[in-house]
Amino acid sequence: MDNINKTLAAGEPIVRSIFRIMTGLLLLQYGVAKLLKFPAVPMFEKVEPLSLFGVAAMFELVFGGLLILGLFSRLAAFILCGEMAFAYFIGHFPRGFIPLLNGGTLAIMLCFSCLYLACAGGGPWSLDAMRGKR
Amino acid sequence: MLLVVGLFTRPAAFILSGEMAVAYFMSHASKGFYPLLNGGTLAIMYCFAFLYLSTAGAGPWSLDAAMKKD
Repeated sequence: MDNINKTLAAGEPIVRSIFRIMTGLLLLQYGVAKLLKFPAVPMFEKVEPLSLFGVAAMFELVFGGLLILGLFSRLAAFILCGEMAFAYFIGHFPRGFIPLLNGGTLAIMLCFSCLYLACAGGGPWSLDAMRGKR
Repeated sequence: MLLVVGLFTRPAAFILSGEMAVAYFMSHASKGFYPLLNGGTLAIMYCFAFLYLSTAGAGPWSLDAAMKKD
């Protein structure tokens, strides 16, 4: 068991960066779909740029992009964490208590992933690291 | 369950990561390329979150930590 643990632990900083990039990509796709309508998603067809959904989309677009690049990762992740908490309590929580039934599992997952990334930083593959800041 | 109590977190997370990757390619990737449209966003998110947990370990609030293994 110790060997397995050591082997897995060796990958930590790089996998953190990969995790950050994937989280950013998954968030960015929502921003792009809501604002730029690509790919066309029936649910997001009527989203206006200045509605609540539209503002959320701008957050996802801008901070999701920053998260992918790893620029100001901690700040971007912290803001996205807050946004996802809002998304959960505004969009999903009123529909019921159990995440499986209210459809909010993804929002919770993104919220805590971003909270963690805000604390842990962007890892070695990031513009923050290239700029010499952690 | 092992993940919740934090026992053997790394191997458990690694196996779950693989399971989610299989889940994505078996049931979502066939429905289209964009995760938004094939409904696989959550599976991708889980896959990479578990992959990260398997490398980072469970942190201080876990049975692994209580048993002094990291």
